[in-house]
Amino acid sequence: MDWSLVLPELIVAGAGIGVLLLDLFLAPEKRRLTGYASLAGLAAAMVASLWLAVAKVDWSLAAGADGSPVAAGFTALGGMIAVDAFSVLLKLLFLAIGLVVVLLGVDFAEKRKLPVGEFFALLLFAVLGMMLMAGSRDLILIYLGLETTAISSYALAGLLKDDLKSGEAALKYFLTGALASALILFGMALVFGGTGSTNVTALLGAGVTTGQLGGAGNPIALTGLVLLVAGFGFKLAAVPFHFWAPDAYEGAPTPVTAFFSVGPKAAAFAVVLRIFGPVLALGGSAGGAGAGGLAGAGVLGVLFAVLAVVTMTVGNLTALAQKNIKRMLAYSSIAHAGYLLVGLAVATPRGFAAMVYYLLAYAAMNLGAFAVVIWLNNRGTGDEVSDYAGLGRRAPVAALAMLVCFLSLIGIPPMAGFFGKFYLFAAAVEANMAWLAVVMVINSAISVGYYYGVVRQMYLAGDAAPAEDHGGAETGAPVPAEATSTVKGTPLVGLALGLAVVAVFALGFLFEPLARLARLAAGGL
Amino acid sequence: MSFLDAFVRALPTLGLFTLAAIILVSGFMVSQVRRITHAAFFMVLAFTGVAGVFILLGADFLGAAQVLIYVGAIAVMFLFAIMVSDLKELSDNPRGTAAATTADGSSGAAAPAARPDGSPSPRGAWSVLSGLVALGFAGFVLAALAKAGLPAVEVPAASGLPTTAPIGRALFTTFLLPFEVASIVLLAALVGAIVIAAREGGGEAEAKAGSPPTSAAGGGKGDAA
Amino acid sequence: MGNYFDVLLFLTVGVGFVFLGLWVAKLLRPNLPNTGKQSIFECGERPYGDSRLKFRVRYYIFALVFVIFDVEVIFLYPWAVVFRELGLPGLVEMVVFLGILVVGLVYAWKKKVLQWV
Repeated sequence: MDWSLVLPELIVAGAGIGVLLLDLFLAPEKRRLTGYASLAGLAAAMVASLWLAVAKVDWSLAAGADGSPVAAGFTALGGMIAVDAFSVLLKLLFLAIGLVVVLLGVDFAEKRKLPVGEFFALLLFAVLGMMLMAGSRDLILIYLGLETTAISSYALAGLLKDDLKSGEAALKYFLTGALASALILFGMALVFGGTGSTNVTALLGAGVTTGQLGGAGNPIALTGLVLLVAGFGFKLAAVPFHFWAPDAYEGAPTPVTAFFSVGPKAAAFAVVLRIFGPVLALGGSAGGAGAGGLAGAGVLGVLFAVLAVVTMTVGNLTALAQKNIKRMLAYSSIAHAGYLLVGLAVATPRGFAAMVYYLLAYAAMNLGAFAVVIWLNNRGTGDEVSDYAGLGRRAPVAALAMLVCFLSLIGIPPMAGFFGKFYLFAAAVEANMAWLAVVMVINSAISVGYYYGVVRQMYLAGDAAPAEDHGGAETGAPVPAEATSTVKGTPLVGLALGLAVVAVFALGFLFEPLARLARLAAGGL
Repeated sequence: MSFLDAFVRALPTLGLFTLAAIILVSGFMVSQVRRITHAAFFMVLAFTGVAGVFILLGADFLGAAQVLIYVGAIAVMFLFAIMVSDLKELSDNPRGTAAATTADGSSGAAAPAARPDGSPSPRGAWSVLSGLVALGFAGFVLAALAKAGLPAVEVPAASGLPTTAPIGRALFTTFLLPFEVASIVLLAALVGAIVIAAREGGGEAEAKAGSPPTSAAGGGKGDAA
Repeated sequence: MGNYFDVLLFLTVGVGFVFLGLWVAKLLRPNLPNTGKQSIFECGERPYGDSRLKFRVRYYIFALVFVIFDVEVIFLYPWAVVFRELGLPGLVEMVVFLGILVVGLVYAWKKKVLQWV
């Protein structure tokens, strides 16, 4: 067994355990060292991933399903780990997300008296679970990765112990998460029963793509897949499985919310791509429709198309009504999950590649937006949209960064969000699903409404009332003045914000090479 | 003699249906019984039934693990969780039960079925609806199974009982990575639960916050246990 | 399956014996209830208050730690059965597994959640 193939995972696991132990033996005032140790661990794992990409991944080009070149990749460690472009790319994304969230969390954790060591250790475990999810083709390891992420996330949501909303967030996240896990496990059991293998590639040759629900072919595996759609629907916060998300996002500590909105969601998308991508692509190229109605893959394709439309529409329309910035961003992240689902509904390698690129772009812009929220929260601004009044004068740099991230989330060139949407749009049109692209554009137009609401507050409204007026009621209750004055701020949040904003532009400018990389990665699913 | 033979041969099937009945009935009772402690014990019964099914299917190690972990540990944890939470309202709410039985006798009255203002809750309708959905789905899966059947899969247990050694071999070769990840899952669960449940400086303040006479008795009982 | 038929027999006889004994005792014993007899036995103390009360959350954490290590013990069984086959790598693999869980124990210890008082 070549354990160097999981070197990044080993480093992250080691860092998590190390941080946990370090925290136990450190004096309370020195505990921010655990944050720096986490940063070092994540950075080392990134280096290891890059090494893996250069030294181990098989980049030799093979012919993909539609004849285009894809990177070959291979599986190892008992067939558990898939070493390919897709896993390396997503591992790097997850590590980067972890890095930014740690940067966002160090000051916040100290100010809000979070249990620091546990915070970073659980975060590292969650990142580890995400890496395993993206890096495996085996249902058993996928499920264990999922649980590692989920269990860590439940605890992370409840870390603000003096805040009832944080407890509520943890409980709601836990209950819906446990239900989702049960659905996923049942679905996996049916898939195993139907195909006789825990490896997802077995789905391709098991009559799943041609079978019909409750009919010929492999209805058992197909039923399992439908259950998996429902289970992962919860994890993706796709409508109608989204109801937990706003409460969990609002109540959780803001850096954790930032993590939830990109991390576990991106990992769930990675798994969905791994499990459903090849099946959908095969069904798509086989024509989709069988003799007696829709064949298996066709049913799944329609399911994803419906999910995509409903998710983005409901997410965007509900976001319009939000007064709390964290809730607004929660609904916005639901809407973005809807955009991402378009790639699955399209069911072509190009659609999957567009999803991979959009995941990168979405992580950058959403983390950027949350970085501004945290930066302001650390300085005593509340989390209500009305607290952002006059921000353009009070904190011009933060307001500008927020503006950039929002423009990217709307999809304005030359930011990454534009290219991501454009790529998805092109994939939909190419696959004769222009109606889906039209729905996407209409939804982007709706989304301008709520993003502009914040921008108008920042630049056109008068100054916000003093922070004291918003006391206690909301989760993001302003930090008491004495707490703000005793803890010296560090430029870490600024650094994270800078990284995110640079990434928003860089991902846009590097669209060509990144799209090609995403194409290589998505082709080798 | 031949009757006895036939009986012994039919035992697995008979046992399977008996166990299935036990699991289904106790599972239903978990959701319907009024006292939460009773619900926990019905769950233990359901867990035991599942262990029996495992054994019937030739997965003897899984059956033993099911008894040790679910019947032994998880059930104990449930009972402890019931003990440490304030469940008076949930378990003995005479008003709630009375209202529930009059308002909706058919649904069997799940815990507090009446709202404080006395209006009947929509819970009965919901439980009927969710029951229908569950039955529909079960029928769907059964129909699919009847139509297509399961593919013939090589099951390691076919090589004979006990299955402990094959499981050990699989666990430490093919599934080594998931096995080691499982320890991280357990660690994360332990840390997460402790950080959520335990307050800084222990749970003393909480325990004393209850009403004076009962908390005194509780302390006495707890320490004697 | 043969062995488990024996288990079933033992189970049936065992469970049956308990209920049979209770039933026979009920037939034979005289039935003269009074308040003292029917009160809950509390080691001679007169019971007061409600039996359902809030215990300290600490007990829950004991139960939780117990579950974690119960699961760990389950993994030890198949490992022990094939230990000789696995040899040194098997030992190392199990030590890693246990080591990670021991970190959890150290954590619980240092956080003082294992202290009785």
